[in-house]
Amino acid sequence: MSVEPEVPIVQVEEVRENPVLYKIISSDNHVFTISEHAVKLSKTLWDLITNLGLTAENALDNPIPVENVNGKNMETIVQFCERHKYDEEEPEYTNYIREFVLPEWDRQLLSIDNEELFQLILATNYLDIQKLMDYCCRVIGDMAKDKTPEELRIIYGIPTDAEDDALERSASDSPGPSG
Amino acid sequence: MAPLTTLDLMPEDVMRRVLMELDYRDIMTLRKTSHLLRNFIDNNRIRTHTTSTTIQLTFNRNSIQMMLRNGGNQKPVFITYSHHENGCELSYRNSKKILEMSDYLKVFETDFQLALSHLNHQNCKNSKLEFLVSQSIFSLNEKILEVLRRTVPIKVQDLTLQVLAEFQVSDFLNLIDPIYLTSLTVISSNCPKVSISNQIENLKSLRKLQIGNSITNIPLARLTHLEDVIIKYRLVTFADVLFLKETLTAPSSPCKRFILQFKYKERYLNKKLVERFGISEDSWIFKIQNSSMSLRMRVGLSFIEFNLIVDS
Repeated sequence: MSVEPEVPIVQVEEVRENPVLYKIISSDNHVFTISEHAVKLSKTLWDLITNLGLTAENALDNPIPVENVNGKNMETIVQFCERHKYDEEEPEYTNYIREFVLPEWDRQLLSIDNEELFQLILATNYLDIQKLMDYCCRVIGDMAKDKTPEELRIIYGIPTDAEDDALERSASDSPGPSG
Repeated sequence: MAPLTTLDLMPEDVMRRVLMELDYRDIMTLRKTSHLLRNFIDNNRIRTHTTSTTIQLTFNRNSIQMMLRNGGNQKPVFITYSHHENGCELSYRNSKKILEMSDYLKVFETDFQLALSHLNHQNCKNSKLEFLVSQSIFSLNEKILEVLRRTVPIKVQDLTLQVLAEFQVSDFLNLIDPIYLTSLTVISSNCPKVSISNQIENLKSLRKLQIGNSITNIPLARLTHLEDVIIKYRLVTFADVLFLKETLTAPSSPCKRFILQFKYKERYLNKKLVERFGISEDSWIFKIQNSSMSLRMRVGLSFIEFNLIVDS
């Protein structure tokens, strides 16, 4: 009869997993937990963590409030960062264009409506996550292929110049904060 | 209700990155959606296929093809603007589109001007422009010339002209800013003679001249200040060869290569060369005084080539 070894079986993922976790609070007070490797993908968050002097011991007791990003976008961002935390470093831009293939998993993650996608881009821009920005811009760019100007206006929600002028006029006609 | 988030409300950096994902035609389409985006695209000189370093225009009967390429390695983009009974037919990649009620020359003009504005960025470094007149037409339509004249002066370093008649060389050269032009190539499909002596005088920055297919009669003395010359003469004389040898072995000569092709050579030219410079199969080496360089003269069946070489 064979005796099971008493050494616990450790999954490869767990060996690589860094036990340090951080807490993030979105603008609408949703709380997210994110691992150290994943949070490093966001330059803004990692700078903040470093500046606040958060350590493995006090990280979970000091949630980081992110007022510019709502829970919905933060959820996507955390999913993305956890998925890509062990990716190799990004290649540098060549000729101002970064060559990459958008993985299917990420295409699925970013299959959201345009308004949400633009909101996600703003959040990504604020959190400074290079790879997610590349992927979002690819998805936005792919929508423009072989379209007419009218189709692009609808896809990207670009107002015509006449609509734009009308919007500006109504904005300038409306009373200001003191009016 | 908060206003909807749209592309034109994105931060500039984000807009730039989205635009970098698009290719030339899509950017041109996006440019037509609003003034705001048009200004953004034009002012930012988005660095994608639109920032081509090479523009090639092929003029056909009732159509113009524009080829754009960025550097030597990238895949070129071809766009054809054709006259269509309902307007302008635009061919791009494998798709065709009719822009109703549009004049193909007008559509071409807008695109060409934008491509040029990108070409002129960064002091025209490595910029290349090629005008090719197709064999299917005899001469350029005056309307096309008017469109091209509205783009003057075109600032480009390297110009290639493929023409059918000699006057077309002047037509195109008149569009170019001579300050920037360092290399000129003229290829003429069926005009036997290209004599551009007067224009050469005005091209003060020119360093490289190549005239293919046609015979020229530019006096050699007007060309020896250039670094690289390839031309064709009807008849090459011993005096021509002596002149080139003497001028090019002068220590201050800027010329690094001079290839003189010919239809005929003076009788006994080879014999005279042997008498003067000694026996050799086809090439002679002349040491340039006070330098580590020599001039190699090579005589072929229909050419004489002078090359500056480093002494071994």
